[in-house]
Amino acid sequence: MLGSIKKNFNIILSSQRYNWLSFLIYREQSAVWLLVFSFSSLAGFINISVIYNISNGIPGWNYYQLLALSGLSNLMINIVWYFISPGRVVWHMRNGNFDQILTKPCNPLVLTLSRYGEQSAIGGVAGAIILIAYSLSHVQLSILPFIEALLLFSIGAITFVFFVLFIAVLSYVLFKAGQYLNWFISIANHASQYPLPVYGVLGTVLLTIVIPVGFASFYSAQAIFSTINPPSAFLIFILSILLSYLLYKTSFWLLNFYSSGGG
Amino acid sequence: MRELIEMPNANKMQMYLAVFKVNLKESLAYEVDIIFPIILVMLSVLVQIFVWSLVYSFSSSSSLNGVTLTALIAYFLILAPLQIIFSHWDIVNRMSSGIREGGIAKLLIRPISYITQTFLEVMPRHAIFFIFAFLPVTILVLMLGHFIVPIQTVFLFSIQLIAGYLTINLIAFLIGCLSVYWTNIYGISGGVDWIFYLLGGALIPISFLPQQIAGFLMLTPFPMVYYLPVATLLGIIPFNNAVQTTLLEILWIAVLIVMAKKVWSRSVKVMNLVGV
Repeated sequence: MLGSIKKNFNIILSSQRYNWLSFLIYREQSAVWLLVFSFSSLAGFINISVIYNISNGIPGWNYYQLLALSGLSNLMINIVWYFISPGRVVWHMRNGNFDQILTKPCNPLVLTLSRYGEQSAIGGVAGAIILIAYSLSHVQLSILPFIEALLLFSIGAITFVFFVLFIAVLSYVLFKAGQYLNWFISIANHASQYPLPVYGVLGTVLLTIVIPVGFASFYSAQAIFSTINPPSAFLIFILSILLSYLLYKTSFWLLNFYSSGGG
Repeated sequence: MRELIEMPNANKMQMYLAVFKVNLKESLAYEVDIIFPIILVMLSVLVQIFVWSLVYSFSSSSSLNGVTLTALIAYFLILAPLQIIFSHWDIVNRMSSGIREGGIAKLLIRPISYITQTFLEVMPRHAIFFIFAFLPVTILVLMLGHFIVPIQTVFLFSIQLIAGYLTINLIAFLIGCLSVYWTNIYGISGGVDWIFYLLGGALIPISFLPQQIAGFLMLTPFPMVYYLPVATLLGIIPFNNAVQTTLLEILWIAVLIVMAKKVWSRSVKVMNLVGV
């Protein structure tokens, strides 16, 4: 077990090294991409600032709390983009390039996550961290809720990464196409920049269980600001772990439907 | 060759029509590529509607900066299909791959200007979205929202739409020309996308921004693409102001045309036609 983890970790490290080298070959273009990815946090900042400038804002959330939520949501989506671009995965499956992943003596899903991401998403991660740091510097924080939020965010981000992996493989199996998946994920992320109750009960359930985008953003933000009680937070944590496991296993099973050689 | 270049206008028109028809057929071939963008862009609007409905319900006034909730929902709904039509990616993608892979060579020897050809290639796809998404959504929104739009506003709106379309595509053409110097221009293109989204009124109406910022932005070409036409149609901008801004937009288009021609003539000289 430990040997397998170590092996997979080494594969990720060597893939990352290669990805970064190829990304940094064109320095100016890399810089532009890094900047472009950080714009999503800027958009969140402008939108929320305008909302609170011209109105009373969103009930139950003050300006800085909503900024933090937007930052967490952007952090999560950029972590996802860093590891996986679903459109790219489907495209490589479609043209048969995915064969080379399956021929290697290691976990194909680990390889997928280390090969088909966007290095430039690091720019988005940096932008989101700045937004979170700015918003949290204006609110009072306690250490325990912060740790609780950190745990919820970590498992929530993993869940969403596995969800994106799952829909990429599913999209290939069902439609052999995935050019609109990135757009779809971006919309889900856009929705998670606001408190989930905004979308009603149905929307909250949808964005928690069906499209698990709320774990890393909404529930983590609730944990930071202590607006969720510890038993509920624990329940959310367990649900997130279960969902991650389920999504991972289903993605693995769906790989059986991959038709080698493309097409 | 010389005879072809100096062909009469009627023949030229036939040729333009032929390019348009071929690309129209190509665009209509994949229905999913028409349906999915419309569904996705509408889903995105749904998020905006939920959020702003709550913001308005929690607000003490029925209008924010002179915009009612009905007008704002109408704004986002009309804007949604416009975001697909006013996309600069089609031109950027064609130019970038053509220059990078050298395929542009075969387009340059044709008896039709490259600029016209590029526009004619992307226009059919946009025309499809205009007919099947923009027109029905706009008519439905205006009817359901009980908006009374005077005929002169419709006329001005039509001019603004054409002007907005030209503006975004001329900017796309300028970005495309950068392919001669840069291997990958998608980063810049993505940046321009965000700038239009943030400063062009796609994220929020410009009138929601602080007055000084909004005033400055109205002098730039960014709000001309999204904000100006939709805000004019819904009466968010007074008619006289809209006319003035439209005139300014036409000035911007003239500047962009001159820039596009100059940059293109330089790019052609630098291009090696075998790919970067």
